[in-house]
Order: sequence, then structure tokens, then C-alpha cells
Amino acid sequence: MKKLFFTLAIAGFAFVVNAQPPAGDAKLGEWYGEKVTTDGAVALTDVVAKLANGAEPMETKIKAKIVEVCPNKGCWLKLELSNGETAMVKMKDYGFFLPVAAKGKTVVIDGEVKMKTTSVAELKHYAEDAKKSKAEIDAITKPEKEVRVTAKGIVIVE
Amino acid sequence: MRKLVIICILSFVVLVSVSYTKESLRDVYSRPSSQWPAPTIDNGVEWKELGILPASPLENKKDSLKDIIELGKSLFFDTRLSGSGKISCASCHDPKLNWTDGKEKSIGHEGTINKRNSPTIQNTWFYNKLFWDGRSSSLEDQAFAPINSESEMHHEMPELVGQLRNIKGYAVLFQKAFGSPTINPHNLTEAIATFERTIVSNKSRFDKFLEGDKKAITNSELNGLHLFRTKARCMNCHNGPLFTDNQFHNIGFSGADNGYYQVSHKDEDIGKFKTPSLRDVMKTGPWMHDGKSTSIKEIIENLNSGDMGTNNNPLIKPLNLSKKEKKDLLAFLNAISTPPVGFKKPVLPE
Repeated sequence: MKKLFFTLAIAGFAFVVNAQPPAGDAKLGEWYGEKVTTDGAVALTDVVAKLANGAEPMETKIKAKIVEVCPNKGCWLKLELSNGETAMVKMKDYGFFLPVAAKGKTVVIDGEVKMKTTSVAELKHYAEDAKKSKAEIDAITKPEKEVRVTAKGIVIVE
Repeated sequence: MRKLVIICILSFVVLVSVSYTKESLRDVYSRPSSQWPAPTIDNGVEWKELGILPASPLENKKDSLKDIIELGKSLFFDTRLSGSGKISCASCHDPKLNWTDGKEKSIGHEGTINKRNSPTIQNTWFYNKLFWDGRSSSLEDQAFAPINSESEMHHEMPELVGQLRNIKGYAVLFQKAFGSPTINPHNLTEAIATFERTIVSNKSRFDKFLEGDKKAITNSELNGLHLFRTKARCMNCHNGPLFTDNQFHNIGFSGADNGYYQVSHKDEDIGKFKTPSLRDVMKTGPWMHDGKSTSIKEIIENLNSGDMGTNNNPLIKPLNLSKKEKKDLLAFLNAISTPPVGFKKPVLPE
């Protein structure tokens, strides 16, 4: 019983210290990771257009609006794209986190942008892992494309 | 004739005072540390006296925590925690190398060279903040990073948890540890952190000396101890039984890495890194956050010069150590370095 209590106490504590995005209001000018300037930042949608035409992954500064922040740790973000889709941002080396207040803010991100393609075979494999029905697995015929950003530094600009 | 007598007398005085000093140094340091000479510490610096290696804080709970520790040990050595299936925590924290990897910088996913040097996990329970730049505040939180980092183990926590759920042996281990086979990011990292808290240094000759074995350290090492505490000013940062103040400092080795600044966002923290424990320092090279220092001798030379380049740190100043003093200091660092405690790797669950 004592052990259980101890375990629960530790687990509770661990939960509190583990699973929290950093505090903060994500005010204008606040920065995370490496300190970046906004010089030379281009719209994310422009970069995505190049990638869609087959451009190689590129190191660049992009400007975009955050539409979602990982609610547990602040360890990933989703950025708005023009077609209603989103781009996934992860932090380089899992090195820094953003407060949930960053949702809705426009940011400049210094990092690498690439198009991540998940092949049909891979998608089918995941579907099998997830114990999807045969019909659902057979329905997978197109590779999935997702814009991925690995951020070295982020600054709030709007 | 008179001259000769004076020389003789002078030589005798020098001889006596030298041998007296040596003898008395051993005597002085054989007393309880509260009666040691005051260390050379600058005003405003908080410090603790050096002391015997502390046990793990879990030492008395090892029985009740046994199953969590065993689970953490398995996870720590399991390459299935990485995206490639090739890297475990132990890849960069090898028990045979005092829980370091002996490399300048750690090698991560598909040969990626990481940003910083892999520190030992010995005595890591003591640190208030983890990583060279202090960006994590608990070992539980820290454990998320290498697993999720694209440059280290290159996995994704949600996927990893899903994978582990398919390994029957882990259901058994989690059941034993937490009373439920449920695997989630929190109990996973709790187990790893709990295991890590049990890893401490081996007892060094310095510890044996403190415990009363007066012959455990040589004269040179003893002299090094005294220098370490006084003229060489080491205790301004490396103090307490684990030889670290748990703080962050820029001692002129930062290079282009901003270190703690990225966490604190304060200009005065540019280029600061966590003070590493000096326990087993001679076994945990190469040194500094970037692993660029391959010789402790050179580090001593550097600190002796007090040259901070463009950086500013009032704790670092020219020390004017003689050749022998530098040698003695190095000898003392040997007296606090030991091979690791023997360790048997776990059999991984299937």
C-alpha cells in the first residue's frame, strides 16, 4: 500500500513536471531556441510552392501563423498553409518548447523546410499496425505528403 | 666563513620549513573538514566544503523501488527506443566508460554528429537542471529529449509507446513496476529517471582519505587538494562533495555556443554552461560542452593564464601556478577519479 502510494505520488509529480508546455504569453518579440532576426524571412506558402515543384529541402527563414501548439509539452506546432492544410514544426534536437499562448500568433522560424513523403507501402504498414480493416488498407493508393519544418529558433512577430 | 654559516643556517631553515609544511599539510587535512584551512572563495559565492561521495538518494528505497529500477534499466539499454532500432541511451552513456561515450560529440541517428559532448550519468541525481545548457528541470523531462530528437534517437514518443505495447515482456515489467501493464510517456520516463538516480561514482582514494585512511593519497595529490581549495581557486565553482556548485558559468570555452543564454534569455548568461562534477574527471574526457578539450593539462594551463578572450568572468583570473603546482593539481584530479562501479547489463524483454 505504502509502495503504491509512493508510486502514485511520484507519478503525480512526474506528470506535473513532465507534461507542461512552458509558461508565457508569447508576446511580440519573444523568442525560443536560437535567437533569430526577422531579416530575409519569406512566406511559408512561397517555400511550400517551391517544394511542391520538387525543390530540395532548404535552410531558410519562414513567416507563418501558428494554428496549433502541442498541448502537453509545447514540443510541436502546426502552421497555416493556404489550402486549409497545415505544416508540422518540430524543434531541432527537441531543444526548446513554446507556450500554448503562441497559438494564433505569427512567427518567423529559422530552420529547415522539406516535403516529407510517406510511401504507399509505409502507409499500408502503419494501417496494418493500427489494425485497420482490409478495405481501409486497400483504399490507400496515394503517397501522403506533409510539409515538415525543423526549427532552430522562433520569434513572435505578430 | 661567516657567509657559509649564514647559507648553512638558511638552508636548514628552508629544509625544516619545507618538511614541516608537508607534514603539517597531511596533519591539517587529516582533521575533520570543518578544521581545514579556509578555501579561497570570492565574496558572494555560495559554497560547500568538499566531502565524501554521497550515496544515491534512492539508496534506502532500492528495495521498494526495485521493479521500477529494473524496468528503467531495461529501457536504458534497449535500442528499440530509437527510430532506427540501433541506438539506446547506453550508446552514449556506456557503463564501461564511466557512463560517457568517450567521443568529442555523441553520434546520433544514422551517424549524425550531435551538438554537444555526452556527459556521464553518474551522480546526475544531484543536478537541479539537466543538459549542458540547463534546459530541463528533471531527469524525467530530460529523458523525452534524446528519444524525440531527430539528431539523437530519432523516435517519436507516441509511436514508441505503441511499439513497446507490442512487446509482451514489457507489459510484465510495467505491471511489476507500476501495478498496471499500461505504458505511457510518463511511466516510461519515470522508470528511466529512477534507474539513472541509482548510478553513482565509485569510491575514490580521496574518499578513503576522508574516511581515515591517511595513506590513501600521495603527497603530490595532497598538495593538489590544498591548491584546489586555495591558490587555484577551483572551489569558486567546483565545491561540495560532488565538486559542482550546480550553477552555470562561462570560463572562456564557450565558442559559438550560447549555452544557458538560450534558456534564461539574459545577456549575462551568454556562453555559460553547467558546472560539471569533477568526480571521475580523468575518466570522462574529452571535456567541456563541445568535447573540444582533449587534455586536462591544457585546461589547467588555460585557467592558470586567466585568459578569457572577449568574455568576462571575475571568477577567472591569472593564478601564477608553478610547474609543480600544476602537476600536483592534476595529481589531485587523479585521486578523485576511479573506474566505474561494476555493472551487469540487463537481459532485454521479448
